[in-house]
Amino acid sequence: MTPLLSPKIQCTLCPNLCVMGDYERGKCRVRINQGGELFSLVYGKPCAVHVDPMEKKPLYHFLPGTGILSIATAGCLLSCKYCQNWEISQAWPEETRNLDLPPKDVVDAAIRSGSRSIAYTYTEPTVFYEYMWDTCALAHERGLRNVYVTCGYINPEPLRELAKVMDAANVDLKGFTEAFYLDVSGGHLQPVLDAILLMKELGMHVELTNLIVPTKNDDPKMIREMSQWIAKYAGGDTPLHFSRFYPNYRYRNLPPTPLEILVQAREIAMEEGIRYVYVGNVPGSDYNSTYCPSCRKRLIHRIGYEVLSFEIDPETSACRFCGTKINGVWK
Amino acid sequence: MNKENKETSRREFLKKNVFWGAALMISGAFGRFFPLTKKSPGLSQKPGRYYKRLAG
Ligand code: SF4
Repeated sequence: MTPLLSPKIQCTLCPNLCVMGDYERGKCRVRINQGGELFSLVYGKPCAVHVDPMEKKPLYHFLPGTGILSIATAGCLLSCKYCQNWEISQAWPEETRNLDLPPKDVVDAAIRSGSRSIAYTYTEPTVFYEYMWDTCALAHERGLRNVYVTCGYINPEPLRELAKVMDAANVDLKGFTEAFYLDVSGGHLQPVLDAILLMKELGMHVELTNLIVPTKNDDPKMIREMSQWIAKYAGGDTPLHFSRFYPNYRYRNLPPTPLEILVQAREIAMEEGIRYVYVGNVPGSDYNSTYCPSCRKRLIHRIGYEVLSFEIDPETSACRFCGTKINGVWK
Repeated sequence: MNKENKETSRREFLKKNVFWGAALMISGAFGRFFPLTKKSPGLSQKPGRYYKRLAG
């Protein structure tokens, strides 16, 4: 006799490991069990398509000053209370205005726009994994690079597969305690740390972002512990961006991050051995620029998202003043 | 400007500028019925990767 209901399935793409009955969706709202099989509801259906500067991702050590076509679909694996893109990340795919843009059209649009890479960003790109993977593969065939702007909430097997076609990532390391992760984003810390290390092991260029939210994750002790972990395991060469919080979504009651807190976080990270530490979302700050860790000269002068000067030899990745190697992809 | 401020100033603008308010509403409606970009009403049905069937 045929059962009335199809079997339950478990999605193993991200650490949420959602179990879905027939016609149920996972936490991300865009993956569904239909008849015992998993389907993506957002393949080729982005709700955001823009050309951004690379610095906006933010990636400061990856093709600086170039344009990057950036796409997102609805949905996210987490539910951060301060999400800056909550209108699309916390939406059902039926609620967003989607384009019909298969991978080939994304790559064509990137080339037409003069972009050198494609970013999977704004929401959490892991939710549109299949669309992202196919687009990445086509982009490589056409000489473009791929950038994954992610919360790092992905299981090892899909990440290994993704790394075959992904060149760089900016991972949002939201805090450094399990309690903060659970309270603010509804996720766990350890899988994110594991993903960061796996990305590095698989040869991706990795930069990290930590958005500092006043009273939530601005404790200098936590920032120090996080910096120690990064320096020890990910390496002191990993660029780190401390980003300014602006009131949004469920944290409209909190003030923007005071500048002193960001500068203090930068100092702590540098004391712990991280060589390239930036202050983000603060246009005009000196700490948007890249300095040589040896001779201290300014190598990339940035104002906002603009690159005004560039003193790294793209062939050798060396500082033009003293020859020190600077971690990054410069050509 | 944060989103709430943007909303408030937009409302104030519309209140003070009835003509432009009406024009904006009409152009908004026009855009809705004759979108310049190709919109897809449906969702995709693409087989997904990384899942397993559970027994029982
Ligand atoms: S990708 Fe979506 S459906 Fe799959 S485990 Fe994560 S949240 Fe659940």
